[in-house]
Amino acid sequence: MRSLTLAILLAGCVDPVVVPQRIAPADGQTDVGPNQPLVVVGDVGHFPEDYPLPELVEVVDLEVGGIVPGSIESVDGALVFTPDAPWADDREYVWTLRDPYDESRRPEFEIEPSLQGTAFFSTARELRVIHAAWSASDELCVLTSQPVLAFEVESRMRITLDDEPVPIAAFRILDDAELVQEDLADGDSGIGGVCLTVSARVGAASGRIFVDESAWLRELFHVEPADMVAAVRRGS
Amino acid sequence: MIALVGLALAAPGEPVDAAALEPAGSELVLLARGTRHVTLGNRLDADGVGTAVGVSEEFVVGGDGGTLATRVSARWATWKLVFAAHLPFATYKVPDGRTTGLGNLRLDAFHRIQKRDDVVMYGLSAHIPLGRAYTWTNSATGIWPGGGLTAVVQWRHATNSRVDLLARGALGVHGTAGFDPYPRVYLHASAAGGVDVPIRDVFGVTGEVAASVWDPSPFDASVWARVQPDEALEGFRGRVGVLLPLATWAGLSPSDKPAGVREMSFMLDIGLAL
Repeated sequence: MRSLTLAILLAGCVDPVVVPQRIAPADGQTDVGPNQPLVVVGDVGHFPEDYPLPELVEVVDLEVGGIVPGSIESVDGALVFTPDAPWADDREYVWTLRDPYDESRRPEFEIEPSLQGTAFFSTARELRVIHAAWSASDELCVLTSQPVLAFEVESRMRITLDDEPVPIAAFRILDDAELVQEDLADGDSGIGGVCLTVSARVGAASGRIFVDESAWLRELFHVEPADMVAAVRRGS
Repeated sequence: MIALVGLALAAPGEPVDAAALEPAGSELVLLARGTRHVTLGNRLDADGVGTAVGVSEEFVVGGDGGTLATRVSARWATWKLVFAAHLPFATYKVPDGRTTGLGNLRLDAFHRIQKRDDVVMYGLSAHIPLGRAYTWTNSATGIWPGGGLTAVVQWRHATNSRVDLLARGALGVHGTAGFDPYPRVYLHASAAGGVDVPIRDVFGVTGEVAASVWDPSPFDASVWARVQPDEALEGFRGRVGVLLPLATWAGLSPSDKPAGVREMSFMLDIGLAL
């Protein structure tokens, strides 16, 4: 949390750039740490010290059901949800950012509509595919639930397009700037992304992305990587 | 409102405008226009001569309401000078229930000029934040913690009938901690107009329309009915009122709310002119 706070403070002091609102962890992110907070990054709203915040964030444990208790606080304009107990190991959760519409005559939030809704995260350590699409330059770009390293692309990932195996001719790994995760909270490793150059069936309508023994079937549309990241980060 | 006040109200040695002196039978009577009480309208200020204290209640009811403001006021006015103090106290909703807090102390210092049919007041109004009540009723400057200084001018004109016409303009600059929806610094300009109609001396009605920016209630209309049984209870005045936040209903409030009638305000006011 300290690095996020520092980054926001520095951003405020050096350059009054408005931090785009987004969520962390991203929708579909895995390997979330046991004490990793859920953060709505950006200038969501500043509140008086000790002002009780409404229950804007609701977290559900998908294995046992029920609401996960926790506390929400405003830190330099960001909203931070911290569970009362650490996240359980190898567990799936969904969290919902609620519309604070019914609040009146009180300090207000400025939560963009794109942020409202439900997102998924997991403490499981497996690498998953969370988004895939063709870029304008005909690369097949894949977002993964954890950061990807070169060896993971080379040794663990393979693809089929329209059910035909297609060799990966080249790839480039998306950096933290492209993934909008240069200022993550401590313990948040973020998501990963890779854009693959394939030699056949460019523009195919569907594809399977295999990581180890797991496979994800995706309809493939044309979406730029920045828009893919915005989709899983709930950015506008 | 026209009140007949004895010469005793003029401070000893204080010059009195000859136009305010009227012969009444064989006796010289000083005709002090304006209310002797501590409040007049929602934005219109009391403008008479005398000393008064009072308590006002403002209930904002409805789905977007929930704030109750109590205001304790005191006022001392001569023919030339007016000093007043207003301290609001609010009980209001917060996400985990209700809480209470002091609003902003308002201190007024006005110069008062009275001619035969007119009263003009002008001066300064200062707001000093005393509490942490993050809510509002129908004015930007009353409760939400913030300080500022406002220049005020107000005019009352007595017509040939018993109806008095009132107008008020104000321009000020205010600062807050900058929590949305309030700006950190804002200019607060307001204009209000009204009528004041006494009915058989015991009763009366005051109506007011007011426009203001920056303000959570940019345009509203209010009406007060009063009873002032001087013979039975000297100096007492009781009032009830209602305020319709028309611009808020139209979705024009700076608070991020759509159009709709989800709130209005009821007001009670008791005062004593000493």
